[in-house]
Amino acid sequence: MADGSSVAQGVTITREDCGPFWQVTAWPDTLDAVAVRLGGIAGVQAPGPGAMVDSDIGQIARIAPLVWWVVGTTAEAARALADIAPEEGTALDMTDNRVRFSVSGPYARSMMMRLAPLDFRDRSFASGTIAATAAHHMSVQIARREEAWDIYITATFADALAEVLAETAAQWG
Amino acid sequence: MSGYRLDQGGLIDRADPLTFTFDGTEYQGFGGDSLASALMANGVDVVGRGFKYHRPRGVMSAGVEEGGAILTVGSGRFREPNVKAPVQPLYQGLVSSGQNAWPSVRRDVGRINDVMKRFLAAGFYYKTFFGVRGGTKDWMLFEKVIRRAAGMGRASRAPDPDRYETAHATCDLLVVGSGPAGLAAAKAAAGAGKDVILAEQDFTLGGSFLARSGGIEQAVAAIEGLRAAGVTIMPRTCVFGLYDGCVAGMIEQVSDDPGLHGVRQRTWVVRPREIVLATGAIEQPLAFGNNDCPGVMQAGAVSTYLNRYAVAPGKRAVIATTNDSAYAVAADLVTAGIPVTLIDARPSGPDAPEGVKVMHGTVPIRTTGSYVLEGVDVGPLAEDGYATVSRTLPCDLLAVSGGWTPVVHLTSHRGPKPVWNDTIHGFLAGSTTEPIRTCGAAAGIYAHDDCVASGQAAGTGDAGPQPEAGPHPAMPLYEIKTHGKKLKRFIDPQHDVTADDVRLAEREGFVSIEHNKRYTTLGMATDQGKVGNIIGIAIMADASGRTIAETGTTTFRPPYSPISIGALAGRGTYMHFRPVRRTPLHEWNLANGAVMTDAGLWKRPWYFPLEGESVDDAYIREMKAVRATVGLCDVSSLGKIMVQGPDAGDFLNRVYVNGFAKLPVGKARYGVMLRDDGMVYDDGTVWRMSDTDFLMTTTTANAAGVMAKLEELLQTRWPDLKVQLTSVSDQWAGIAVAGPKSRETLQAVTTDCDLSDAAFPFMGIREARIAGADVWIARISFSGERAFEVYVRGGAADAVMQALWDAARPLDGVLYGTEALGALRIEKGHVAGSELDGRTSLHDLGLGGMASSKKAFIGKAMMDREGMRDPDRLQLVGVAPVDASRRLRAGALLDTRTDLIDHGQGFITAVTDSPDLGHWIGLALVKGGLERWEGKEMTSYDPARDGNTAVRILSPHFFDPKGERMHG
Repeated sequence: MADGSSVAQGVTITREDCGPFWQVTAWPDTLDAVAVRLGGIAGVQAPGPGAMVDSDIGQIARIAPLVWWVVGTTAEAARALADIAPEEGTALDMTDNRVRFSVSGPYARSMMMRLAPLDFRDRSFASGTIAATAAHHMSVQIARREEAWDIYITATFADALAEVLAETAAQWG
Repeated sequence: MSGYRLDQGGLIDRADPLTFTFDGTEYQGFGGDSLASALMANGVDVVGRGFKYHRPRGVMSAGVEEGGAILTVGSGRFREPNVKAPVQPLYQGLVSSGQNAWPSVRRDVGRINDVMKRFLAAGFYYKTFFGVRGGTKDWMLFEKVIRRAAGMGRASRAPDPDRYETAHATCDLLVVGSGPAGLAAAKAAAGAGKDVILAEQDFTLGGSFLARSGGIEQAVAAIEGLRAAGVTIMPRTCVFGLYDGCVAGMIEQVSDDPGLHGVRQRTWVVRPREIVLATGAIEQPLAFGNNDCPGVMQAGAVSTYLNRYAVAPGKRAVIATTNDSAYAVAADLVTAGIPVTLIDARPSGPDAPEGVKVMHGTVPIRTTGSYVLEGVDVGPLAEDGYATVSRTLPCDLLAVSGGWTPVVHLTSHRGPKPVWNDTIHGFLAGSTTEPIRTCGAAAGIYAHDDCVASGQAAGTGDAGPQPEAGPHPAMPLYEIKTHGKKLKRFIDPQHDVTADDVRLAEREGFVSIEHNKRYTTLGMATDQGKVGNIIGIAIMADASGRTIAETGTTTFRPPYSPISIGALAGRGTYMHFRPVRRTPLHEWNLANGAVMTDAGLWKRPWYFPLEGESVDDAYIREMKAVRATVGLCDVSSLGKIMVQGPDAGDFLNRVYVNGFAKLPVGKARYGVMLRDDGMVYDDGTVWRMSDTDFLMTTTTANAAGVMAKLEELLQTRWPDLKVQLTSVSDQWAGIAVAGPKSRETLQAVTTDCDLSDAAFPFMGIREARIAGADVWIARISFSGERAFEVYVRGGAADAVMQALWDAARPLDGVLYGTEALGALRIEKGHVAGSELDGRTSLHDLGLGGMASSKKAFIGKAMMDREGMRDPDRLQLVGVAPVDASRRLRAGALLDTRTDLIDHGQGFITAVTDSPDLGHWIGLALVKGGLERWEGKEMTSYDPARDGNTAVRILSPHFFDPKGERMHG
């Protein structure tokens, strides 16, 4: 489709540019302080492990014990994020590092079950959850956003994943 | 056997007639039929041939244990051999054919083997190794014949046209089997609020319900209840194995006609919290004379064909049994109007069903009929265990029940060996501490109501009923022995293994059941011993004077029944075998004429040919242009790792042999890292972006490995260091701008960066803007020319590359690929992957001077151990042909001898035709290196290609050895 998405009867797959994308990390002894700092910039409580929240400065995801991602942030927020003392943590502009595929539709969950060895049931993977895994030998992070699933993959693997997604989704029309 | 369709009944859909073929003849069946039931309904009696003796075979069962009706389904590239007819659902247009016969299963010239059967007993194959004359000469003749005869079906050689995929699922409880026990277990668990998956290998749910008169209605009601309770029901799904962590492997037969986008089979990897095995039991045959004759089948299967498929397997039946279950079969036959005589080996049994004549203390001894069943000789079993023929019962159907053996394979996959139980005369699952429970017939419980109770208990984890012998215990009888003429008593009908074969193997010393299996091939056909194993074990025990328990079983391993390799591969085939990795400049490269090559997972531009150019023409032209003017090369695939934190400099000092802690901001430095054993691991450059931020580059091949290694160091050896590692390989495109006019090219596109030598010395890094995008520029060189590497975010890569190309073209610049890239570095003597092969040290490569003496680093302790300083080690040199017109070959050995029979003094690692020098050159690793060989002649030894070439050993730095061009 013109916007880079493809639609099968049961699945819609949309390829998206993540926009400005920053990584913020803490050291083990500065975790709380960095969480407070990030929360202050974002206007929300920084998420705990495996969680993703919406905020004024974009989506914030805790993708590792000491690592947050801020996805789709603003230039002003980026400056604030970058202004972190090395003794406190690190900030890194990762724009263009990842591509996001959004999977939605009646067969979205079935689609995800064919990609990764995760428990995609509601009880285990509610909206606002993010997990790191692998799909077809490629490292990915998968987040759930209401009834849609967002797959984050490093940019140079994106075309390969797109091919697998399209081929898998074809069985539903 | 002369089967026919009953006028009513069954689970078939008589409103859905289906046409199919067998061996070119068209037949009709109905929706809900299996291929076996449809063939039987059409009176087709012979559907296969045994492996060795090519004796005719008919349908023997109604399940995966089938040993006779093994057919090929499909044709051309859709051909699938060794399909068990009882488990193949019939569909419109199904094409099937017999196997292991010529010209057909009905008339097979291979039957001549039956005449020669005395020479084809178990182990005959191994005895051909010795031959008639001794030695292996005869074996080479026998081998050709045996190989041609081996195998049952023939697979298509064409690429598999079907698609497969893998899927994952999680649940609280996985129930395997949808018979009475399985349905009860699923219902009980769902009622307790558990998330349940019910897997059934058959295409219709119900298990033994489907064999019972009135059972179908009970099954339908139970299944509807499960659907309403939210149980995930998966028919045509076989659980083929259980693995660590209670993970279950399943294969789902999705569709026989998947169409363009559908999948044919799906592998499921299921992670349940608990598993209930309601896998049922398999009816055992008896070993008696010519028991392989078409018309002989499992007694329980007769009821299945009558009740599920409305097919009568014959017109006149005899039932031979050792237990009570066959009495219900007799009743079903009478209901269908088929006269039946029941012979029971036991002296007494339950009341005979109305209309059934019962003969107690009687066993089958031998079938009669040269092609299909015509009758069976029967007689009493004497106290010495031998039987004598007393009469012949005419029949075209002989239903045999030698008892039941629980299906315990899946538990066995987890390690516990099956345990013999004298109450049921069968093996039960060994005990396990894993959350796996067995119920119903799989637990030796055969009475229907007890099965249901057993399933209910298993579903909720409660204690259930135990196996009982009942008022008329089954008789443990496996083999009917007779005095006088030897009879062929088959225990493995697919591989034609007889009772005598098992005894022969035991006499020849194969006393372990595992060895007996391999020697006789009992259980090694597609039924995997499901009907023959127990009889084989019993005969082995009898022959060796042991009990069955002492003899034990072979080891059960996955898969439970055969699975397609394609299903295991899933979508990981062809282009998806490995993911393809594309640089941000991939499309730009293609649009500008690149011929691509594979570099690991990456697609990289190999060369950019002008019209009519070969790869050699192109790379030579590209090299010349880089040396003369300027060239642009996509180097995005290099690994890039951000190293951040207050301890980043210290970390890099520990990782590299040379120092980085004091590298000034705005400078880059070449570094080498070693393994713990002192061997060179990788090289690259490190750019200092700020006091605490460094960008590390690695080789393309080692990017992931270096990242993993660095993470391991931080997490296990130096957890106190405050260092954050992040792979940024994907977000940065890298463009090498190399050549005397590289500065001019860059200057044309960037106005905010002073590129003069004074402002931008060698190994400096600067920020700039090109085509509206922020870039980093480093003055580093792999080619040996003045060169820069421009790093830009992937999203702006095309624009920056286009701007550079627009600036380079007026200067007669070129685009160059990996061929020229490699050739340029060879001229300079720069090491790369073919020299950094994990066996070379710093000293071997002439880089020993790089190693700091003032700091500790990975590999320092081992790099100078005695073996690593041996002057006889392979060391880096250059090599050129004495005759300048000769070419060199990478991989050629080097030595002073011309008749080389060992590894010589070394080998050539990389070569190129050098336009700058006018002849071929190469890099090599030679014992003793330059110190021993510089200026001397050796022979390049390459018998597989160009033969011998005289070469001279030189410094590896062929071109601009002082580096004036790149520093200037």
